[in-house]
Parts: sequence; structure tokens; C-alpha cells
Amino acid sequence: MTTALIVSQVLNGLQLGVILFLVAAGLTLVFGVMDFINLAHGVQYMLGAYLVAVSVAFTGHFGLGLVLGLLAALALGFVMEILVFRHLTRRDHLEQVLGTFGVILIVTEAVRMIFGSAPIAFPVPATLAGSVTLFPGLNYPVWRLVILGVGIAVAGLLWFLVNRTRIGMLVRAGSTHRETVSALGVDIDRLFLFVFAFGAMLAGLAGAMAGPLVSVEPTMGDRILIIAFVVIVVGGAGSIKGAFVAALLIGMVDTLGRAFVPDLLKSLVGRSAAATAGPALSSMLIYLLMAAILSVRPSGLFGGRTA
Amino acid sequence: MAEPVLALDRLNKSFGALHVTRDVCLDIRPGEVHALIGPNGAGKTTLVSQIAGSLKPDSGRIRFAGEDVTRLGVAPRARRGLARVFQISNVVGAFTALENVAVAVLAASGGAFGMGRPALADPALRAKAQDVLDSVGLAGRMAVRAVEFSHGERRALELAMSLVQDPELLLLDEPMAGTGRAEGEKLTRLLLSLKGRIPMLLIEHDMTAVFTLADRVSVLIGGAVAATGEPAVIRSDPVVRKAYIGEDEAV
Amino acid sequence: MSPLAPAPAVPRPRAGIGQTAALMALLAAALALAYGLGSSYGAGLVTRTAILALAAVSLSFLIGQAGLVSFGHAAPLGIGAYAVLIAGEYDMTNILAVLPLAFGAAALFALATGAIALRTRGVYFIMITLAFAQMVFYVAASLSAFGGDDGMAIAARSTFFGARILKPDLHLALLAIALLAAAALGLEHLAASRYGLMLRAGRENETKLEALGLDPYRHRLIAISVAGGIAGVAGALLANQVEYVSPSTMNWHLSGELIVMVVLGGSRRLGGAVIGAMVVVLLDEALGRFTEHWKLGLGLVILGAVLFRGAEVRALLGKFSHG
Repeated sequence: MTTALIVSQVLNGLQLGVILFLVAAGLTLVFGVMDFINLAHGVQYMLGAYLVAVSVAFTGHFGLGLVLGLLAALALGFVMEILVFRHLTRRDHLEQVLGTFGVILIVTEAVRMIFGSAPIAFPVPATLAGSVTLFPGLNYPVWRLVILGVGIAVAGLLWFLVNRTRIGMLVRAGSTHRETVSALGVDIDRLFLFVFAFGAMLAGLAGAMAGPLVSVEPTMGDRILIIAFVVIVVGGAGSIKGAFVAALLIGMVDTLGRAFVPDLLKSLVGRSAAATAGPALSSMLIYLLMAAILSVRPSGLFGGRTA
Repeated sequence: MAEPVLALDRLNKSFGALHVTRDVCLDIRPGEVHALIGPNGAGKTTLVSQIAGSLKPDSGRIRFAGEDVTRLGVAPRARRGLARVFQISNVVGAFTALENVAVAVLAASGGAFGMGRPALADPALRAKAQDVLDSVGLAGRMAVRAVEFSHGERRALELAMSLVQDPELLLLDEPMAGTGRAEGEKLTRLLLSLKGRIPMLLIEHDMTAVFTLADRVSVLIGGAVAATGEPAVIRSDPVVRKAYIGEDEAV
Repeated sequence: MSPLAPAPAVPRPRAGIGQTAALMALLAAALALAYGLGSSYGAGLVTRTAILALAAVSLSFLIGQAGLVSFGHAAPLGIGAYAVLIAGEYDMTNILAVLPLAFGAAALFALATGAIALRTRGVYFIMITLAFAQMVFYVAASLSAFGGDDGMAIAARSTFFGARILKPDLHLALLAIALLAAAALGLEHLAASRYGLMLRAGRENETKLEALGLDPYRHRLIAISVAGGIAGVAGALLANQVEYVSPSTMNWHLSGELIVMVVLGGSRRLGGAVIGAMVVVLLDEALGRFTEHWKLGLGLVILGAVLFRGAEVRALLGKFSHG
């Protein structure tokens, strides 16, 4: 186990963490403002990857394509909110689950009709495609560093928006005192529209950044959605800070667990037992972490409400 | 004198900078109807929640039925005989009166895990439910769903559910609220018929009901108990008159 | 949590027995018809419907009676399927051992995860059950001895002390219908009992139940375990039918489709889940004939049903029959 290996795995963990944060941020805000559970959030992650890939290919310019793709994701967020989601916000959770599950089936299948089931290519400009030498013995892909940088920048921006602006104040207040906010004469439906579309764009950004690392295919959002749920449950629904801390925690635990648990087990229980239990245990790790945290704090690390 | 059924010892509760319960001391003697009055925002609801166990005080102790229950939750306190009638009638709307009372009987008897025969086919259970519904004047309404009940009927049903618990104390949170004049009088008569048998803490705005029923009255102002005494004394207490009764001349 | 339709009267559970009997007769008639026409495809469809209905009925007990929306019901089902696979690898195929094993393993999983999930409510509960189900999915995918990602064929269909009683598809179909009937009647019975009454009271008004001195936690834990166990039996039957088990047996979309079955058929009656299972299976088949993209159609039906509410299937059927 070399230093280089450990450092690169820690960086990988952080990078998975910021992607999870971008996905979970929108999800947790939407939950906070409207007590709304959106299973289709993973679809927006997937759409982001497709939209950016297509518009980069179309414009032939990465930066321009990225901006266009994200704007399209934002626009799609508005459209989907108006067509579907606003009609679900006042329903009970069972109906929200069903409705958004329907949206997943529809959008996933529509994407499959257009692009097919096979992964599509996701172009990265040559300058970002290589790797840099962080220190002797460790070459690290530039793109992964870009993800880290962008993720931390967006987290900072979100912190500013939520803590320093009027709309952010409303969002925060909405997650704990929904009735009060409505009583102040704030149009909570409009607030929801903007938060929803913004969250869709963030998920799209996450999808676009993950695009070169994972295969861009119609069901790519499923896995990330469920891990994002784990993030929200661990962090406490409605809390941006909780989402950030939990996303990094989950990202690190998952990555480091997969990298080192099998080896660790090998030294503890021997090769053959480890070969069986290692992969199983490392894939269970984040869920066990979630269970452990929930048994101590049922509303998550930073959750005020238990509902 | 016998030990009080309920004794609050210097309870305090704050929400942020808002001090809603200040050093509240209060006791309820066996058989007594103790009314708690106070203007809106005096902290009555917060106090009731602390007594019921749905809210934990920041400091102070609560003794109930000879035991310190400060750290216990709602369900354990209820099992020790603390029965609560909610401000907004709290019954199972989709259930019939019979089913509602059956739930209360089962919860009280601990026989709630029976998986054998159908619950409502049990003659003993039906008889007990029938008795208690009779006693609150709902005999003919057994098979009617609670959502179809009037305010007063729902209140009576909730009272019936509390009575099957054989309570040590009835916690009545504004029972007259939302009932019409005739229904209110009926409810007062019903409570009067229980007086002496079951101690009650009566939180109420309706002064007619308070002065008809109460043995002692406590006045809560700004989160603190401003006065405790017999109704006649309270009625003439200058502080109380000024802060509360004088305002809306309800006496 | 209320279902799609405005809350109707809480059903007198006894009334569900007639409906259950009628639905079982319908399934049996469909099976007889399929055999009469010599359609093994049709018979397979009936079997599949009965198996999914078994899982859906147990979920309906959770959602409709206990008010617990689990989005992870595919997990105990998958565990039941893996119980058949793994037991078979160790030469254990006796149905009297395999079915209890499937029930027990799935119930144990449901008990353990339920104990934690029940500490939370509403949205949290939904997300946590989904997450735990996904955990089982990944664990199954990591079991390289049992096929890993790809899964593997079961050694043999279950036996009765060596006799290969499930070899004929007809026997499997009859067993599935019989177990469905037993589960539906058993759960009806449970719903009518004291325990069931308290479970529904907790669903309708938890605050009041607590004020009466009863914390419904243990009632709910029992419901979760029983429902999980029944889903495990459904999984064992499914493994026997397709003779193959893989992680995709417990794909999270199956959890979603089971919820769809429960809600489409109406969650207040256990029989509704059977109707829902019939509708979803038939819908899948019908749409699948038109297009490979049948999931798009299923999604539209689900979304439409939610957005336009009045979509309880029985309500629709009622409208048709009344002209």
C-alpha cells in the first residue's frame, strides 16, 4: 500500500463525494421546500450527461457545449416541473413515489428510443484528457481534478446562495417552518419551481462531469439516485450542510472501502474467506454506515425534523 | 393530605429566546378538578404537552401517580394512567365509534397482539365498549364512523376512549372549544358526573364551564402561574382581573 | 398516508374473503383455459401473475394496513429466490425445507432493516427501504460463487423428499395459486384480529394511539417481517418458475412495480393487489407486443393514473359496467 495509492484513492473518494453532493443538493432542497420526494432526480443526472454530450458534439466546442447543455437541463427542469411535478407536491408521499417512478420509466425509455441502450461517447477536450504528475509516482487524471475544483466551487456558491441571499433564506426557512413562510406571503409554489429547476441543473452538471468516467447510458442515474438517498438520510433531509458532509463521507467510505477492505480482510481472515466476503462487505459499507448513523440519530447528522 | 396525583415542580421550557414556561409549580389532589386558565399565548398548550410527555421540559420535575415521569414518553405515561383529551378532537376518523373504543380497550389491556379471532367478534370487548359508550351518551352511535360525528359527539367519544383506560388523571385540553351552546352544556354535565371519581386538569376558555366544574383554578400568565386558589378567590383576585378576566369580561 | 382515492370507509376485513375467493377462481379458470388451449405460454403467464400477486398482497398489507410505504420489497423477494439457488447448490431441494428457509431468510432481513427504518417516518422510510434493498442487490452481485452479476441457473426445481413434484409447470402454477390464496386469507384474518385493528389505528392516527399508551413500533415490525417473509416465498416460487436467479431478480424497478400493483388495485383491500398484479402483468404483455419500448407505455399509465387520480382500476371497471 503505497502513499501514491492512498492519495489517489482519497482524491477519488472526494471526487465521488462532490458528484454525490451535486446530485443530493437539489434533491434535499426540493425535499426541504416542499416535503417532496423525487425519485426521478437520477433521470436529470442522466439527461445532463446526454444533453452536454450532444451539444458538445453539435457545437464542436467543449465550453460552449457545456453551457448550452446545462441551460438545456435547466430549461428541461422548468418544463418538467410545470408539466408534472407541481401537480404532485400537494399529494401524499405514496403518490409522489408512484408519479416520479412513472417519470423515470418514461424518460429512460424515451432516451433509449433516441440514443439506444448502448453507452454513447462523451467527448473531453485534449487539454483536460491527460494526467498530471502530482508528485513522483502519482499521475492523476486532469479531468478528475477538474471535477473536484468545480464541485468545491459549486458548493461554495450554494453556501453563499443559501446563507446570504433572500431566496436562500426562504429556502432554509421553508425546510423548517413551511407554514410561516407561506404566511409571510411568499409564493411557495414559485419558490419550488426555481429550486426544482436549479436542482435539475445541478444534477445535470454532476452527470456531465461524471460522463467521461462512467458509461453514459439510459440507466446511469439509477445507481447515483439511491446513493444520493443514502447521503440525504445520513446528512438529514433539507440540510445543505448535511448533504455536503454526508456526500464527502459516503464518497470516501465507498471508494476507500472498495479499494482497501478486500486487502484488509485478506490480512485478517485469510485469502479464501476474503475473496468471498471482501466484495460483499465493501459494497455494503455505506449502507451499514447509514444504519449505524440512523440508530443513533434517526433524523440524520444535521436533520432537525424527524418526519 | 394524600399525595397529589400530579405535581409539577419548577418546570421551565424555552424555544430559543422565548421563555414559554417559567418555574411552573402546580399540583392536583386526588378527586380534584383543577382548572388552568390564561390568555392566549400564556403557554397553556406548551405546558399540556410537557405534562402529556410529547415535549421535554428544559428543567424541573414531573411526578405522576407517585412516580417521577419527567423522562418518560407519551405512551409510558399513558400506561400509568394519564389520559389526554386533545384540543382538536383526536379520534380515528375512519373507524366507527365501536372500533375507536375497542382500540382504547385493547391499548389499555395490553391484549393488542392477539392474532386469533377477529377483534370485534369478542363479546367481552363489545360489552365493555357498549358500556362506556352508554356512559357518554353515544349508545345508539356505535356503528357510525367518527368522521360523521358532530364536534360534541367526537369529544364525547374521545372522552369514552379515555375512560376505558381507567385513568388516574384526565387531561382535558379545551374540551368546550368548537362545541355549540347546547353541546357544551351537555359536555359540562357529563364531566360533572365524573367529578370526584376522576381527578381532572381542565384547560378551558369557557368561564361558565370552569366555574361550574373547578375546585381550584390556576392562572397562567406569560408562562408563569400568577395565582392558584378557589374559584371565588380567583374571581376577585385583582391581578387576575386585570391581566385576564377583566379583558373580555367573561365571568 | 392515504391511497389515490379519497379515503373510503375502513373495510370490514371479513368482506374481503369473498373477493379473494373470486379472484382465486378467476386465476384457476385462466389456468384451465390456458391448458385447454394448449398454451404453455398462457399458463406461464398465469403462474407469473400469481407469484407477483403473492408479493403484492404482502406489500399491500404493509401499505394498506400498516401505512408503511416500503420501496424495497424486491429485496426480500430476491432473498427468497437466492435461498432456492444457494440451498440447491448444497443439495437441499426439499420444498418443506426450501420454502421455510426462503420465508425465514427474507423475514429476518426485513426484521433487521425494518428495526432501523421504523425509527424514521414518511420520506425517510421510503428512502431507507430503497437503500437497504439496493444493498442486497449489490451483495448478490458480489457473490461470485453464485454467478455474481450474471446470476446462475438453479440446480433443480424444488422436490418433495426426492420426488420432483414441481417439474410439471401445472403443479407449480397450482402451488402458486394455493399459496396466494393461503397468504391472502391469512392476511385478511390478521387484519381483522386485535393486532390488525391496532395496526390500522396506528396507520390512521399514531398520536392518539400513543396517547392511549401504545407505541405501534412492535406491531409494525411484525408486519414488516411477515410481509417480507411472504415476499421471500414469492421469490422462491419465481426462482422455481424461471429456474434462474440473478441480482436483476431484485432490480429496484420491481419494488416500484409492486407498489404500482398495490395502488392501482386499491390498497384498502388486500384483493386489490391481486387485481393490480393482473393488470400490470397483462399491460406489460400487451404493450410488449406492440413495441420493445413498452416501459414507456407503463410509465405513462402510472403517471396518468396518479395525475388524474380517478384511476383506481376498480373504479374504472365500475364505470364501464354502469355504462
